[in-house]
Amino acid sequence: MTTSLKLLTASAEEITVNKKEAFRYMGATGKSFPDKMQEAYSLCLEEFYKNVSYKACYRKTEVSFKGDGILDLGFGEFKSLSLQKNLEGCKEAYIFVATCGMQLDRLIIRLSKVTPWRSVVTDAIGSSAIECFCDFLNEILAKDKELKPRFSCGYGDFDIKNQKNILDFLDAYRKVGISLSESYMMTPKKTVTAVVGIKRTV
Amino acid sequence: MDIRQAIKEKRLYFDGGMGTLLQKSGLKVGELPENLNLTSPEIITDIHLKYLNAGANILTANSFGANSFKFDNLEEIIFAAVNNAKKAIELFEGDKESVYVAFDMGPLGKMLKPLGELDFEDAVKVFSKSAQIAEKSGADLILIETMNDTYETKAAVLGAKESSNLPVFVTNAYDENGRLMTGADPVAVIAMLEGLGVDALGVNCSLGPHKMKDIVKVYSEYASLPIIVNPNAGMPKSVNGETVFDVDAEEFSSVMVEIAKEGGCILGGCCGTTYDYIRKTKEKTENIPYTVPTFKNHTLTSSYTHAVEIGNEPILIGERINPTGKPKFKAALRENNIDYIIAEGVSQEEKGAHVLDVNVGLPEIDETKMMLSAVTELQSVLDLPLQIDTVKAETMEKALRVYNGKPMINSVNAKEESLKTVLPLAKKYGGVLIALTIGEEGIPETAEGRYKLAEKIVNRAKEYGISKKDIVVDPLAMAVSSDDKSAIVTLESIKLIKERLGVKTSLGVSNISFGLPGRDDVNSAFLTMAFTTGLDCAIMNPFSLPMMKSYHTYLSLSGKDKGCLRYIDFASGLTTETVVKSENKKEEKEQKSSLVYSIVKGLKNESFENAKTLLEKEKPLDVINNFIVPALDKVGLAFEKKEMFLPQLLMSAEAAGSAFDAVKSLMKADAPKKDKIVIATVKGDIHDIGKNIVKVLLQNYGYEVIDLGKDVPKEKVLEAVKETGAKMVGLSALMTTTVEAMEETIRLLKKEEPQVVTVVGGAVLTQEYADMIGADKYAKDAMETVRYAESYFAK
Repeated sequence: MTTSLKLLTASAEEITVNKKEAFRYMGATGKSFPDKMQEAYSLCLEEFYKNVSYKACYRKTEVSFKGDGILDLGFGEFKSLSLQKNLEGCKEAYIFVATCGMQLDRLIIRLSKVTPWRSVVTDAIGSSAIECFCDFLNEILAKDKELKPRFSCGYGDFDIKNQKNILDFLDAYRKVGISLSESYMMTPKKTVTAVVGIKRTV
Repeated sequence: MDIRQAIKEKRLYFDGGMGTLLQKSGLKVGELPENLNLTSPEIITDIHLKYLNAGANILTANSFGANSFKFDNLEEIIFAAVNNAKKAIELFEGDKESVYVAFDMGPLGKMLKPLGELDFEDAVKVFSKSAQIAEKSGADLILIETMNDTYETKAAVLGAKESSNLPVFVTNAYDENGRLMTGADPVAVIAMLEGLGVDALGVNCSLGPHKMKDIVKVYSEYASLPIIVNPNAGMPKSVNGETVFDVDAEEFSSVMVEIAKEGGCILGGCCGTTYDYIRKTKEKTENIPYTVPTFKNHTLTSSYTHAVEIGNEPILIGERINPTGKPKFKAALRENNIDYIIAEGVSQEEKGAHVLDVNVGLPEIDETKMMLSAVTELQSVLDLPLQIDTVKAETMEKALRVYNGKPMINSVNAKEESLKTVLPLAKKYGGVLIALTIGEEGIPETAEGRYKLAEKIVNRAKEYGISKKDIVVDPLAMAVSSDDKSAIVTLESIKLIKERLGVKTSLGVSNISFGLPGRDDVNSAFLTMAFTTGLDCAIMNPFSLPMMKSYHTYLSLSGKDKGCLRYIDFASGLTTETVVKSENKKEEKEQKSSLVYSIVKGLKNESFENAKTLLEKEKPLDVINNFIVPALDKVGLAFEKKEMFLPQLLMSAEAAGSAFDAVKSLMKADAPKKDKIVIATVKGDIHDIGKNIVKVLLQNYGYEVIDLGKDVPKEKVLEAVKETGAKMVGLSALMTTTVEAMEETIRLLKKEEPQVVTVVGGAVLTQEYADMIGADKYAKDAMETVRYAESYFAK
């Protein structure tokens, strides 16, 4: 059976943003980076901290396999061979949505009009940060459970359109302020939803 | 009794949660609760009846999500929802007279532009439609609830009021930090809602009663209308697989007693609250003496985040978004260069302005269109309240509609025509009015004469139901060079108007020095005199250092700046700025080819200065061709070789941009002809960071970029091509779901304007994809787009 919604927040300081990943989003790969990039990163990170507001909301649900890639997640049926494979052996799963919040979107829009290079760096920081926040949430969920890697809409053949069902199930608009556009894009932009299979309770 | 009257006389009670009860009665997860109005009306009526028996006076119809986005059979759903509540009243054995049915109107679940893709006016239409049906169905009032965005709240209120005559109650949902999801604090929300003329306002959902107490306190301090308080039963938790809330009815009702004493007028519950919660709340609060909030004399203007109060200490209204006497600004308006306007806004905010005046009137442009884009763009990046400054009624009304908050309105005067046009607009949309003491005969020469006109405006506004707290009188500063007494008369007027009328005052300060040398010094001395006389708002240029010095020194000398902390902060900012400058200059001198160096290093200010120095001996075109372009090429090559990265590429582009600015100021007729390129993020796609990067680079390679923004329909792209004659179109899409829109845009262009070449880019695109959708060029990054443009236009 499904359980009630749980909310989770984290302060900016609780989440260590993965710098290497942020650099990768800026197209910067390699072993060393110019000082200029390091400076730019620190400057933007400081402002990012003031504008990020990590929020997540999750819920446990039952998983049943109907065959041919059809799964019942307790709040609807989904067709995806990739998801079926990911959830193999799981009877339950967590469904979650995690976001960096609306103020960050505002900041990035503002920077893009005033100092574009900073919007690029801040955007990259946000992309890296939301993944780190998901890891943080994952760790909490994994406290007494062995979990599968998180699986999001758009991975493999798990259709992006399932985003709607997931957000409705999590009451995401009311609880954490996530809305979905007609082309299935989420606002705030730095937002992730995922299914996390529960292998077993330890 | 009409509920508008009832709330002035006694405490009314809302019902509690509906969702929890519906789930208990078998509603499955994922089902739309509004459908139950049709499929199980007896369950809904039963819940309503039980709430009536528990003591509720206002039944909230089961219509939270009843809007045309979710339901094709909207009319049927709304009628059923309202009827189910009415049926319960029929069955109710108590006093039926003081029971009301509220049509419940929740958020649409879509974010409004610019953060999302829903257009403001489209949102108004959706709310209008629901409200219109609600009135037809016989609801007694409209409850707009759980709103977590001021902009959507405004759309809902306008929708409700424009299509029905029902009373409108509004409750907003605040988070733990006491702010709406999109950032507004309670004072900003109150200012906007009272401006829009709602009948009652308050808070609901998100928080339990304990955490709502502080917010209710703020409402009691600022709101003049009855306050609604509908908290959750605390936070949800799971016990044996069942959802329970952590505040029980006993505890809930005890806190509601405190809330009632704090000023809560209409009490009820939200998620997790049930019959017992309402029964106990009523039992415990019924005998607390009921008082409606008194009139609060706060003059407030607000943005989407906060309110600025006029009257406590002087506020500064930045005057630079105005084309008068500014050739560059005029050019920006003619070229539809919104970024220029935004930059003016941002820089004034950084200098310390509290409100920004927005005037974009120019005879040769469509002022309404320009004002709308200026207001929407400015409020998307700045959190300062805006002052809408126009003489055109149409422009004024459209801007007041789309403004996200309670604006300042510049202006009304004592002439009949102005009173008749501006006052109804101020009444409908809310706003703080700047009232100029100009009558049919012009500006009176005496303070007494100006006072009389101010009085006339205040009285006429009263007839429209506009409180004088929302009027700020500007008795007009006139050039002292043409009339020795002008400054004295203005100052006397301020004094007289404040004393006798009790309204706040404002001045366009710098007019005083017109025709004199050393204007800044005259202005700053006059500013101090005016502040001392009691001036509340100064419309001025925050870039004027002498005036800013006057402002800060006045604050500390008049005891408004505790411990002179703000003054110290301001003054020390002045010294560090000079130090930094001189250090940089030293560094500069050490660089031989300094312009190329500063562009490569991405130093914006230095690039501007270096270009200026170079221009003393070099021709403008030579500066571009021999310095700026080679510097950009150097950076571009380093980027392609992965020695420099995207942010650095952009830093250099921005530095080159400021060097161009220096060059442009000297170039006139001999300016090189630039090729035009139209760029857009396609329909359905709201990600524009990639497109913006391309824009910056193209501009700094000298192209005229017509940026259509994001979520752009194909027709608009075609229209822009036809209008500008651009030979190249750049399209961006981030997701597979929007590549289709890109394909359609290309198809349309190829059909209507086959000579145009298209270049595409974006996260999901590949060469293969680009070929498939018929694009002429796939560019993997911004630099490649530039290279393509360079080679294409060289042909």
